[in-house]
Amino acid sequence: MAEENQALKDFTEKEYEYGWSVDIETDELPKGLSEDTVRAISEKKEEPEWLLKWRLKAYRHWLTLKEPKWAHVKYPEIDFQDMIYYSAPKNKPEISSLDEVDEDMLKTFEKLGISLEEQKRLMNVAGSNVAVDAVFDSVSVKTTFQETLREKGVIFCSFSEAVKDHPDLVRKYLGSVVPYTDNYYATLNSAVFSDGSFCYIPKGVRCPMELSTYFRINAMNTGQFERTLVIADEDSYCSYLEGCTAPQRDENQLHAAVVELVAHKGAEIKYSTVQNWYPGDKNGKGGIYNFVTKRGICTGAYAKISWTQVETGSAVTWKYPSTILKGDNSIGEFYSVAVTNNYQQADTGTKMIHLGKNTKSTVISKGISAGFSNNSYRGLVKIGKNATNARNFSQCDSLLLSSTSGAHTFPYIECGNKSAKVEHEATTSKVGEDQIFYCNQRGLDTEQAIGLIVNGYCKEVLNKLPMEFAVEAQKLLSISLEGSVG
Amino acid sequence: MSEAMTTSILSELVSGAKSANSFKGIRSEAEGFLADSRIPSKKHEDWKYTNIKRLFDNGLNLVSANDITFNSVDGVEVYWSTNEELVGSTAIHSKEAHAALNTSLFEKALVIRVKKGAQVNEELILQQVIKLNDGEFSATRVLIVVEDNASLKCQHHYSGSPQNSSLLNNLTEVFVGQNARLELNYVQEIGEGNLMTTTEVECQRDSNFTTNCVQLYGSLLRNNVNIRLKGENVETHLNGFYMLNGKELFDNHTLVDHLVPHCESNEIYRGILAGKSTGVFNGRVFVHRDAQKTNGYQSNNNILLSDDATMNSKPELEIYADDVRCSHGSTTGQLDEDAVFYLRARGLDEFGATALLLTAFAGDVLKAISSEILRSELEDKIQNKLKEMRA
Repeated sequence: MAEENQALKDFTEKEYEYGWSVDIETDELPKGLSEDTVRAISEKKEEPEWLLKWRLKAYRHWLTLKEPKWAHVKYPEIDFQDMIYYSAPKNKPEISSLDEVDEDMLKTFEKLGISLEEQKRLMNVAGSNVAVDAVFDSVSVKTTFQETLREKGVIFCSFSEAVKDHPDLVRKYLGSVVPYTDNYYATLNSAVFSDGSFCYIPKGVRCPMELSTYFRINAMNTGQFERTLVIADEDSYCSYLEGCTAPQRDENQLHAAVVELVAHKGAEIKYSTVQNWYPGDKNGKGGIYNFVTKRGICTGAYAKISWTQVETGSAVTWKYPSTILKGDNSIGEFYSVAVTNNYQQADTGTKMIHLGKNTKSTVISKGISAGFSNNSYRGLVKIGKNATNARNFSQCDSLLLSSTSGAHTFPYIECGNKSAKVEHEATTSKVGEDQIFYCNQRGLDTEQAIGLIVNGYCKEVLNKLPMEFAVEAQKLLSISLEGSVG
Repeated sequence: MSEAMTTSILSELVSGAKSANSFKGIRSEAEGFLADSRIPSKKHEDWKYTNIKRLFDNGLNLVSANDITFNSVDGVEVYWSTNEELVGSTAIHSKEAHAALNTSLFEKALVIRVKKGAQVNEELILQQVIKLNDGEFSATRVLIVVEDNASLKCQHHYSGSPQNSSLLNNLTEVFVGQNARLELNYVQEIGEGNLMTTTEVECQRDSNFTTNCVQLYGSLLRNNVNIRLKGENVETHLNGFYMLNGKELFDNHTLVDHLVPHCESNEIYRGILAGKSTGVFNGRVFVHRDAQKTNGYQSNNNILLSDDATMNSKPELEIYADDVRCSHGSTTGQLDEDAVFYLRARGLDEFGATALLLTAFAGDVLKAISSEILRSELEDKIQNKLKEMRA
């Protein structure tokens, strides 16, 4: 027991590995939010009139909204005036090669734990097959492999470039899945979003490489509001990865992103996230508020959207990647591992809205809570009246690693068609003593045993991650869970 | 959700409301709570799928409580009271608006008491025939006390044919003593009326509490069951079966509150929905930090017979202890075609085959009812309703 306690102590006292910041000169707007802030952001980004109007509409709507309180999370009131809404590295590189990138910034990438592989990719090392768009504070600094992608007709660039180069596409799809009126944070994002990634896969194209975005909040008191828009035209395919880190700071920082996916007839989008924002220290001080709206729509028949997420960071997570299954025979998937430790709180899950006939969805959610954390699954499965033969299977398991943590399940199941089949099951338990004993007997210490059991427990989800991320995610999990037996 | 309500809320909601002289303490608490709250609208999480507010929109008149009749059973004291101490001691009236409304407006409480150690074998049957006219509101109150080492089986049968825009609000408080046993069965068949029932239960150590609720007819039936496990080693079972047709809306909300270690709860709710009906199930299992070694199980299965029927199911687990085994499951779908085909191949017509399978589906819940008489009555009623659903 003493050994276990020590192991637990080691784990709970484990410090955030990505907690550092780099002094890069930034171009910031002053703190505060008003119509002027919105106009200033739009002006800085040299945006067209329609986009500014859209932002302003969102801002005015936001003023009429109240912060949502229904999630199973507690945090102090956010002061939206005490925050910087735009921060850009001063020397925004107009680069063709990495040599031109600010050296400090390169160091930033180097310091990102994920950078060993990514560095190579950023540097266009031959043989690498991931195109990366890195978002640093509020702006996108580097998008690689644009050339290779262009050959195939794939557009992958920062959001601001897309606004300039492909205004028609942006205008057509922006807000089509998550309208600016959607919810408090999505509306705020619509008003002040600074950058993000844009991706368009033309008809019949299978994107030759993984597309990837890295988000990092660097500057102090900065909120990060990025917007991702992925459009897969008919019969195309793409796999999109997203990673996040932030430096260690005492005060909480807000991250309110919006992700919109559009899958046309026969298209498939696979969207994977490894979220490792700074979770706050062991007393629950600091950390990122991760209030994200992610939603995809299968507009045409046989379209497919698959969400995979590994959530280990953030002080508070509030995130429900959802899929609207509009096209007949379309498919939605959601695979999630959420780990909370210390005073972290996560309220995450998915919404599967079945509208078309023969639509299918699968939800697999694995929650792991340790320390004093709270981990909730909240999900909606809605079968519309016309969704004949719709099928859903949901499984939400929770694992408790300490007697002071909490695990909760709040599924909403609304079924309006008799031919639909909807199943939901959930279990909550702790790691079995017999399982640990079995491993101990075979020469594994308790720490390794826990790692093994937890990795096995999450396998179903980790298997869904693209290779590049699976390794990283597994590492992240085992770091997070070292010896965490209570 | 309009203007904040004042202390006059009672007379606003229900005309003819006046504060009675009895139970002054709890009534003033309830009125205080009502003053700060309002009848919940659909924006209220617990009322998301059920619009109760519309019943109050045209104003309701308070009428005297309809009598509850009961049989005489050896070993059980049953009497009407205006001063029984335990009434209101669960304090549910300071948590829920509808319970507060009941507490403010009931006239007298029906007290059922089984003394220490008394084993009662005969079933106590409460018959409540509701005769409310349009626009009428009535509140009834029941208190069941099963003292230490005693046991009781009780049935509360709601029937009658109240008119469409009337509302009956019943609140039952239940105290199950140490090592006591109670089986509490509800049958709800009230034609077109609206019924709101709340059962608030407190179980002491080593006790055993079972409740079965069968809902057959009603325009709107809302059934809240909250069970608080206050002593260790309690075993509790909650079962429900509901059949809906036409535009009926039945809503079951349950809470099992595990406050202490070593308790077990089992919950099975099943339903069949036809016509344009709407079913709601919200089952919550709450395991507190201290409630280690809890076993909690919950399942909700629904069969839809029509495309216009809707089922909203929300099984919830909220767990703060780590050494627990809790699971829940929820399914919504239709009958297995293969099973129907199997029976038809053996000479049953389509209705016969469906009815047989649906009866078996109900059987898993009904078997928890120990009274054979009640069970066979219910089986007949279920057959009748199945025939109506076919029409």
